[in-house]
Amino acid sequence: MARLLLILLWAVVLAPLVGAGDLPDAVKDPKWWEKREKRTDIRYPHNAHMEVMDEEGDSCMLCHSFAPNAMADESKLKPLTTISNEPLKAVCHDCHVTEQRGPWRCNLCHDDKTKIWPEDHRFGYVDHHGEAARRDEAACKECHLDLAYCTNCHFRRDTMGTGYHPLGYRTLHGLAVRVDTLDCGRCHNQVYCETCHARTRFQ
Amino acid sequence: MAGMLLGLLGTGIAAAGADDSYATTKKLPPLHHVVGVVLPEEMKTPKRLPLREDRELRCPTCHGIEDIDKVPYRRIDRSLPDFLRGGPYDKLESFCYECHEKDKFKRPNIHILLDKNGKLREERCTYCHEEVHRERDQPLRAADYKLRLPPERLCYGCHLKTPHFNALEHQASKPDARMKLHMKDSKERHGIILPLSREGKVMCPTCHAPHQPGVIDALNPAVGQVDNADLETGVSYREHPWDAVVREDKKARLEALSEQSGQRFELGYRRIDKEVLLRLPAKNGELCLACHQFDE
Repeated sequence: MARLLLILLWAVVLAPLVGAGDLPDAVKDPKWWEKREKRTDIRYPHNAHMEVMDEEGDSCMLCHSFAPNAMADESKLKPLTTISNEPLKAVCHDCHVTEQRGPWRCNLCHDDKTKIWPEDHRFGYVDHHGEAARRDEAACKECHLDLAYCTNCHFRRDTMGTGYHPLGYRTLHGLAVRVDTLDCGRCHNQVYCETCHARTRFQ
Repeated sequence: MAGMLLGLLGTGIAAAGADDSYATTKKLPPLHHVVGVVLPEEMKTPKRLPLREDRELRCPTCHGIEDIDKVPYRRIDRSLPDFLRGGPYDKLESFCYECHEKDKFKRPNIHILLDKNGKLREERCTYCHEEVHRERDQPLRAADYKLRLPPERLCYGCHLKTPHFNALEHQASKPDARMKLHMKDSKERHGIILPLSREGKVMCPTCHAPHQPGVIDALNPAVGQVDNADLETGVSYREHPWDAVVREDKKARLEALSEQSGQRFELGYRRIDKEVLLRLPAKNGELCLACHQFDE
């Protein structure tokens, strides 16, 4: 009977206290994959990739290497394994940016654009972006893959001052076309020209 | 094996005193190759490993560091390429085979448990089991396996604890309640076992089925589901265009790690072609998904 009472005392009173003595979550050293979950700048929805991985004939091991390994020094093996387990820019971007075989909207994976912005985008960049774009347009296109990102502003007609061209440019644009037609073609296609010119005598 | 030898060598060196060169103490670190031995004529050694005129093996036979016998052990830089002549060597065994014939020291693949006639090679069973279980169609209970070591340590008798990437990470992990439920579903769905250690942790046999197909009754869940490769050849890989992409992905971080550690690392990608002795195929991810599941 006394033994039964002792067991009951342990189960009801003491056992929960022992549990309370466990380290709180903040003190425990999180595993690498737990840290990875907190990387809100990048996310990888595994289930969304299952079908394409299956089609391509690749498996989890494309990103999480199980390659043979002769290294027994754990102090070197651990950081090496972390690197092997963390696919970053090149692996994701090969499909989503370079080949655009997958959805390529940046905010699909990067939920905070300020974390992937170049340094010079932080302060007043919108006022100076034209200068940078003329200098190295290819650099802009590394991230801004869709030309609509530019034309959504530059082709707007309901505001003043957001256009690419200075006021009164319509009068002078014929001269500019003759000087550098290719420059016009960076934004405008032939249809854009023909829409007006087909209606006028300037054919 | 090489790591263990180097580790023991390092321990021996660290324990020695300040003026502990071989010249003063005449003591070699533990597991060091014997010196002062005269090699027989039939043993062929490469020219870059010089012997004394009478074919005696001395320190400079293996070590390229000048007067290494007069350098205190703790000051010997083992990372120098010429610490072992012709180095560095990824595996210490590669250096041993410069003089010793590899074939004579090759271990048998004890997973090949059947001979050409399908007869059990009983002597191979006893590498892991104390007794041979001859009633092959009668499944055993785990308590009757009579293993020589607990299953979580048994494989290390022949294999490194780190035979492939992520082995260590898996061995240390203990599936939580949710994962255990998913594992239970997978076991029922595939008709397999996914055994855990006595402490409930993942171990080598959780994923690897150690018995050659045909040794255990095919209906026994302990039998491996992967049977597409020659056990002599083992796992084989195919080159893949993603290799370049993966290398690019890892490049900067590996260079940073190499700068820190003074050792060069490479990580690439080869697709598995044939795989062996697994409870489920890994090359299509089935094995991983037997335990892992994702919310999105």
